[in-house]
Amino acid sequence: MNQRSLHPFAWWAWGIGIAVTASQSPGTLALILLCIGAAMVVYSKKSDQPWAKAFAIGVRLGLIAFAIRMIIGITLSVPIPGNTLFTLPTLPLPEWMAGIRIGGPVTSERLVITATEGLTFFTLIIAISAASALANPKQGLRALPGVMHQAGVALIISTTLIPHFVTSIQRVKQARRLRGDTQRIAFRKIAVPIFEDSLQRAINLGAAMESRGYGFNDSASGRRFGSQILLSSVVVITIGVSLFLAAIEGAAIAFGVGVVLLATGLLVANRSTKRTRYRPQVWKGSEWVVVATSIALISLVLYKNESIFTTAAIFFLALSPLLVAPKERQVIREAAL
Amino acid sequence: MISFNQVSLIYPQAQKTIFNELSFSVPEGELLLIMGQTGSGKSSLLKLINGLVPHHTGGILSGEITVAGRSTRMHRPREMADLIGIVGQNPAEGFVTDTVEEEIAFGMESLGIPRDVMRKRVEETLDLLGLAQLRNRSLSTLSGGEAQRVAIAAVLTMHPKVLLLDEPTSALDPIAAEEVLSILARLVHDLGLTIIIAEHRLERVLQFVDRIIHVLGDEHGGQIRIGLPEEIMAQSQSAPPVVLLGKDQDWNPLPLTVRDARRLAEPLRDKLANLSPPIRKSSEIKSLPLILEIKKLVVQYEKKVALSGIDLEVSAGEVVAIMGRNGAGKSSLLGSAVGITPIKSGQVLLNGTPTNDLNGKALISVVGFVPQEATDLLYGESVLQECTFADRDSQVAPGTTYKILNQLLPDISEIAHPRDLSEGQRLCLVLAIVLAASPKLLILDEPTRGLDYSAKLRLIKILRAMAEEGRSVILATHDVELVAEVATRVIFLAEGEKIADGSTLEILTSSPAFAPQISKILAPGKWLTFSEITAALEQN
Repeated sequence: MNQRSLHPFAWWAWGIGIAVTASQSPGTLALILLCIGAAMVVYSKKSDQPWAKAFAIGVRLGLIAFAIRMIIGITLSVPIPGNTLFTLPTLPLPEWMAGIRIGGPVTSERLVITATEGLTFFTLIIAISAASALANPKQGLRALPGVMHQAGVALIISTTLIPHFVTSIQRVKQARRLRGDTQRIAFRKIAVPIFEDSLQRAINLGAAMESRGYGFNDSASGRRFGSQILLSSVVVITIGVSLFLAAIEGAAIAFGVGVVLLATGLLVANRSTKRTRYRPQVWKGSEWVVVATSIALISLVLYKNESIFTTAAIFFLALSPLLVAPKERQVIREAAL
Repeated sequence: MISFNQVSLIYPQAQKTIFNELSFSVPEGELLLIMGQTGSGKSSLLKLINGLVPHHTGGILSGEITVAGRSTRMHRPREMADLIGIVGQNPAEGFVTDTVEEEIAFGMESLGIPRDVMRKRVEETLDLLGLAQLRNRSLSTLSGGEAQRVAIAAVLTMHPKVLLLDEPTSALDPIAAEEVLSILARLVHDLGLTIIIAEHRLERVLQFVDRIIHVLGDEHGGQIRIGLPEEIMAQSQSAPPVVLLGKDQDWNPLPLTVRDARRLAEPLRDKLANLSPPIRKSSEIKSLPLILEIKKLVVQYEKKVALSGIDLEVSAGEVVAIMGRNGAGKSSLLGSAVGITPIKSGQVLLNGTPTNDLNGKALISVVGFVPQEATDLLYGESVLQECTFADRDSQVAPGTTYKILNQLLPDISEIAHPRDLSEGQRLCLVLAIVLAASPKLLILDEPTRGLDYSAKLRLIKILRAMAEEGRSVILATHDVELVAEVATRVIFLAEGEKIADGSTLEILTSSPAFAPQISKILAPGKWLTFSEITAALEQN
């Protein structure tokens, strides 16, 4: 038997744990340590599958977000009093925009605050991209209940098509060489064939899934009811998250209602579909450990103040998958011709 | 098992009648072949049976199709999945999962089959199709024949009663094709499966089939002809060489296989013993200028060596066929000749200049390349636009490309979208684009994949005319009959090495798997094609 990989949901629990911790301003050092921890886990546990590249893309995206946050923070903001480092020319703004200004003195306090916020953004993006680099999206999809049939089709098609995108681009480039086309690259000439290519593939794959019985046992009415409940649970949970982030009371109630709805939705959903799994993704001790450390991470940052002890604990908790997760299953893949 | 009752199908936008009031039935355990010209509706007929047409593609359907009592009118394709397995033209495009084993189990998971049953069926099917060593392979690394077998395995685990296959062998080399077809024959015999195949390569499948449906297409009012292979072949224009020879010699009964024909061919063999086949101009060419020169070419993809030190010289007027297994390095060789495959070491000279130094007009006036998927070369939104692009890129008078296209294909609509053309029409369009720059060398990668006999004849004429004008042609192909018709020289590749290089006659007759039908029938006589025989007999 091959080495198994951690359940995709466990990876997501880990990623979300880091993201929530980062959003609770645990301190600059903790943020940096979280990023380092995520990177360590990704590089020691990632597979050679295409989605493992998500992390590298995430890092780039995070850096861009950080840079944008810094530019905005320095040029455009509410004045923060303190130690002035340098002064940018001020752009006069109309009366009604009082309170905001463009340019003006840049204080060291402002720089620090902006950098910390930028770093928080960066860590959030890192956490999400780390989880998506580690969790096998296809296994994750198959762990979803059958209610999400249509979404499942769409997601499987898109995860399958992304690698083909690169080949499509390459093919169009080759075609231009073979036809002796030396004109400047026209967007339409490249985008249209690639789009057509992808559409054609998506249609073919959809037809193949349909004729191979995907959604064979779904009862339409049960599915509709189930997906309505699931949809409302997502809405309620989202409200809960926003209340929580905005530090408004009632978050706990919203969460509670959302979770109950989610459970009901899944129950209804599973009753309306009959699907079996050939090699079900197992949920064992290591998955529980990862989820537990993730919860511990969040509770720690919520109830403890910023201290060197907390920071160290955060770092070690974030590294938990290093200890328990098996390495991603390697699939035999040599370069195909 | 399958019954069609007054079935008509039209695609309203195309204003074409695909089928008009078809009524027929297919009994259990039959192996049925669907033949017909490209674009005549073979694939549509297959997809009608499991309901993909019209549920997934649109179109207006009347009449009733039932499979084992289930009507496609009342059931969506997914509700027929336990009854019908369908394998598309390009099986790799239908793969949903990552590895062979997961893919084979996918259908059963959807059907809700208990896990212990799944385990058993996966093992059985892996053994039945000889896939056991491939079970943990990533699907993206499979060769064409392997992908085809995995796709068949993936539908077989659902224990369907009917298996539908769209051109299962057209992308395969003769040996891989033989493997797939013998598996299908075994399924019919052992499991009593009903199998329907749509296929152009009649010479490969004819010996296995019980009956044939000949789809006549729009010109004949959407009718079909259904009957025993001998009956259909006796009336059909498109037929493999063995049938053409049989008809010409008035053999009775009409032979469908090499084995049948050999028994009847004894008098003909005697008659031809005193005649000699026409000499192909391969020896006189050597003195002509070199068009393509490849020296010690090495191509490598990551860890895999695709070509290891190939030498090749092609002179003006030569038609060189490159043959070999799927994955032997044929496409890499052609690609590096035009500079789209990165080379690791070695040298490729086109007309004396390194390929990678050539660009734009300078490149296309030396070499024209027709890729495996003709659509890869097309990016315009109409036939006319493609022609305009080609005129501009080859710097020729406006209208030149369209004129060439008209010679190849008189009745093509200039506003049609290239993707809506049939495979044969698309090939002609690409040929016209490439020929607009009048290249000295034409390279074709697997040109007859998806071409019917009449389109193939047209291609053969074009290639012969080019060679007559002193231009060179290189083609990579699995189609031995095409090679027998046009090539002056054949090169065999295996695992990235050149293992044979010689005249067509010498190479083709020395290999049992790659010998054309005519040479199998008339061995030991050195004959390759039907036209050679008729020409020789007429002269006498």
